[in-house]
Amino acid sequence: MSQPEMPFLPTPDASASLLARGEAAAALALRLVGIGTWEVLPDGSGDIDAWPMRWSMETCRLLGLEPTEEPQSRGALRRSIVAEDMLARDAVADPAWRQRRPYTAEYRVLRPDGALRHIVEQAHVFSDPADGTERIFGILQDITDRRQADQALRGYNQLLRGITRAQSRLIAGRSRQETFGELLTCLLNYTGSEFGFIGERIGVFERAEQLQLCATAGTGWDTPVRDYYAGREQSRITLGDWAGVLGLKDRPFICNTPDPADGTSDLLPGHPPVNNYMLIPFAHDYGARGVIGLANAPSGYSARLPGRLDAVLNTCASLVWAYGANERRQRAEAELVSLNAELEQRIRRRTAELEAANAELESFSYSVSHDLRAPLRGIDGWSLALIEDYGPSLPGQAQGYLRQVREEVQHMGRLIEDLLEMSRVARVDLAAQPVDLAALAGQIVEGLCRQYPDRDVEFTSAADLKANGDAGLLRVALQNLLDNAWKFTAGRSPARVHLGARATLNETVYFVTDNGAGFDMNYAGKLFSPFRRLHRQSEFPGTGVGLATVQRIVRRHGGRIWAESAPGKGATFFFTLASGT
Amino acid sequence: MNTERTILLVEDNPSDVELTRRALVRKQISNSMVVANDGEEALEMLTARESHRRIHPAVILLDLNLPKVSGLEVLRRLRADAKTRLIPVVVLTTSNEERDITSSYALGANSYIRKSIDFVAFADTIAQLGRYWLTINEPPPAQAANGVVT
Repeated sequence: MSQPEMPFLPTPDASASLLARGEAAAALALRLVGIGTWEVLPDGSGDIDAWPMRWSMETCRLLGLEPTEEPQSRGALRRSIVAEDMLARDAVADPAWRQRRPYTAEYRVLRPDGALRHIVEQAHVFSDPADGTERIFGILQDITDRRQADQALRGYNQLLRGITRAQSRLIAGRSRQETFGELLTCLLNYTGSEFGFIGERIGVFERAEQLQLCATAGTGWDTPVRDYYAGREQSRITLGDWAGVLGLKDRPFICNTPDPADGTSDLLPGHPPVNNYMLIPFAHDYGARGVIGLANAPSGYSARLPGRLDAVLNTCASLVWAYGANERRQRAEAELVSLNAELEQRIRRRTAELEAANAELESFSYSVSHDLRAPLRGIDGWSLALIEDYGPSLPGQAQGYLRQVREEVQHMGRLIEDLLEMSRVARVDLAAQPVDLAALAGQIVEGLCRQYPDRDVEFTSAADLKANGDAGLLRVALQNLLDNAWKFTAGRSPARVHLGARATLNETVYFVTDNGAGFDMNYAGKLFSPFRRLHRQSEFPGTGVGLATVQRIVRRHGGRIWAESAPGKGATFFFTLASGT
Repeated sequence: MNTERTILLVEDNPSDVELTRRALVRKQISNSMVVANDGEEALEMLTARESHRRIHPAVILLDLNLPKVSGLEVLRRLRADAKTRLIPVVVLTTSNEERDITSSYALGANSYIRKSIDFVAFADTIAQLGRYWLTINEPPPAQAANGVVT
């Protein structure tokens, strides 16, 4: 078994080598953790450059120098330090050396091979227990990796803050350009890129990917180039337009050594040269939403970079979707607004048409009232004049004809009256108020009894029939219904007429029922049309307008009217008043 | 100045004019009915500058639906004119429109009569009107009506 090259524990019998072994273990430990050491023996002179200095092998390695056992000096150490950091280090270390104080300094060293490393130097003063001389002992540690990790973390934090800011802008309702501009600026800073863009994918058109640019950014561009992109921020571009590069791919595309043959030679005049670039698509649920393009990072783009941009890519996809949704909502709102405006205009037009029609109807009924009635009076008057002046010389039949003429005139007069009333019912303003239908009916029945004293009619009504409606119109409606009941019970003795009401779930149904002639339900549909009559004039005289008028009144109150009957079995007219219950 | 009491009928329908005259004559109310065939003519007769051409009826029977100047306008001008503002005016018309009735009274009509289509009823109405305004009613003093007293 061979002696282990680097034993960790000293053997108890070899006390002489105990110390040497301890030193070797310490040196090994320092080497493993990358710590170099040095030692200075202050010689009492004021010239600190002349103080003898010894470096460990690891110190030489840290500084990128050939390991050597040769004595070194402060000057040799300072030569490795980057010029701009050296004075700061001297300001800390030199007084500490002279005054035998501990210190810590940080600086960068430039190795002969050109590598730049971050170093932390710590020194301590102690007295040699053997001879009491004072020595300064220092260590050098390479903290480049830690520095880079810190920097990466800081950069990443900035990126995350940028994402938050971009999202806030969306929430605050800022423009698409502003929001994506914020993100793009963060990306440029994070990747060290010179310029770039974020574009939303529109689709493929003429075999080229169509993008709508959300943001473009870059420094040091010529005005024409800025104008070129600015002019396209709201419009579509084909990705080929951008630096003449390739179509959108599903995976990130990195090119650190562009070949002029691949299209970068198609750059617009004035476009800054593209030294390297990266295209990263971002996706949301159903495939690619857009692409981020970055160019001219000082040391190119690493293949690991897209993976670190996941949060930004997701944000871009969400923002593109959100702005799309916003714009869709705004479009829908705008459509709604214009639809409403159109609707209102249509309503205004219709209202105007209706008002015109109403005015026309009014003037029509006015002339009906005047111009149709006047000739009737003439016909009647002159027929009468004939009878009065020439009656004795007229044959009896001729006198009968003249009487017939006068009867027809009166019928025509009633028709005109009823028509006028029907049109008035449609025109009059509705003034709703509580109305007691029973009391109203009582007054009407009194009039009917006076008008037909010979009739034997038993009229009954529910005690308290409250309704809400226009008293004048409801009186007209009840008058017509009761007139009808009186008329169609002409042959009955006693005739029975009843006014009642029954409450259903959500309305009150009023009804007038009689034991009169009734009608065939097959013709019930014609009951409420003007001039429709279900009985011969010789049986029951009338104009056929009354029920049409009642229906108009009921409808103006928002109610319905219908009837039930059978020939010879009486009739019942039901109606509701929407405003009445 | 007229001593005999006259009726001024303002009516454009000749048939109505003749029937009205006939009713008055048959009921032996009056022979002195003057007719104006439209509103303009009525105003001329009632407000002429020359007093000898001016008539001063005991009552004016005024139709509303008149050519040229409407009945309501005639009424308005009569009531605005000191010479005519006190002459009794009976609106005699086929209209029973509420607004016509309201306007007539608002403008100072003394009565509003709707002409019936039934001529018997119409003739009775005319006879009653004539009897009332020509024999029963005490007319405003002519001087006051003529605007002498103001």
